[in-house]
Amino acid sequence: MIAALKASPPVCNLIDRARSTAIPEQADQAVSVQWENALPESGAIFGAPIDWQTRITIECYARSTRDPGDLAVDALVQSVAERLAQDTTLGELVDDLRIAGLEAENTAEGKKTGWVRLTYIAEHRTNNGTLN
Amino acid sequence: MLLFADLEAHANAAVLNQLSNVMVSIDGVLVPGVFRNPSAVASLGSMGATDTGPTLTVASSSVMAQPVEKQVVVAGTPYEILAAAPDGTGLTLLTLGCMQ
Repeated sequence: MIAALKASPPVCNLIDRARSTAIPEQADQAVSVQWENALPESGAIFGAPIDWQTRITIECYARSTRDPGDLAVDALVQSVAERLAQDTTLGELVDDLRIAGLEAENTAEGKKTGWVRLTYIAEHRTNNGTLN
Repeated sequence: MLLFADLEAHANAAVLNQLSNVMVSIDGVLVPGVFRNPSAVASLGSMGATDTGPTLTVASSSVMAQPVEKQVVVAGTPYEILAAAPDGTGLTLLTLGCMQ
């Protein structure tokens, strides 16, 4: 997903995996991609491949001195969603990738900042007994 | 007889004279103010976003009637007034937002 978001042209200049520190003041847009959890399908046949649902979140931040935060982040969210919708197999790495939820907040400190978390569900398959 | 209100006004004027670090244009009038612009972290999402939290303390008498969303100019830089908090003794703390 990070590779897709960074593909030229990148959706923004600051794209991190599981960023753990605050977005720097100099960055007007930023994205962080976080693996959250994965659940296997129950009742798999012994020895058969296992289907998984993996939850991944993408946090989008954008700030503006002009627009309110919720408007400031709109374009970035749209870019992320459109980019990932271009190939919902991530280069045949997964069976499907779909949006499962959206959350939003915004604030006005020195600048107006908007935040949206997109939650994606990736469906994919591994060999039994391994996570490959 | 010296009234308490007069003492407050006198003390506020002394505070602004001693502590003011900028001249501020409010409604086209230049007044002294205490400007601060500390770093702040906007609490958004799992990591937050570093920002600044500019504030300005001025005499309440220099603040216009409906200040929110109006503009002040601090040392040549325009800011939008996000909130106004009069302290009841003649000083008002303005929370500012960057406009550029």
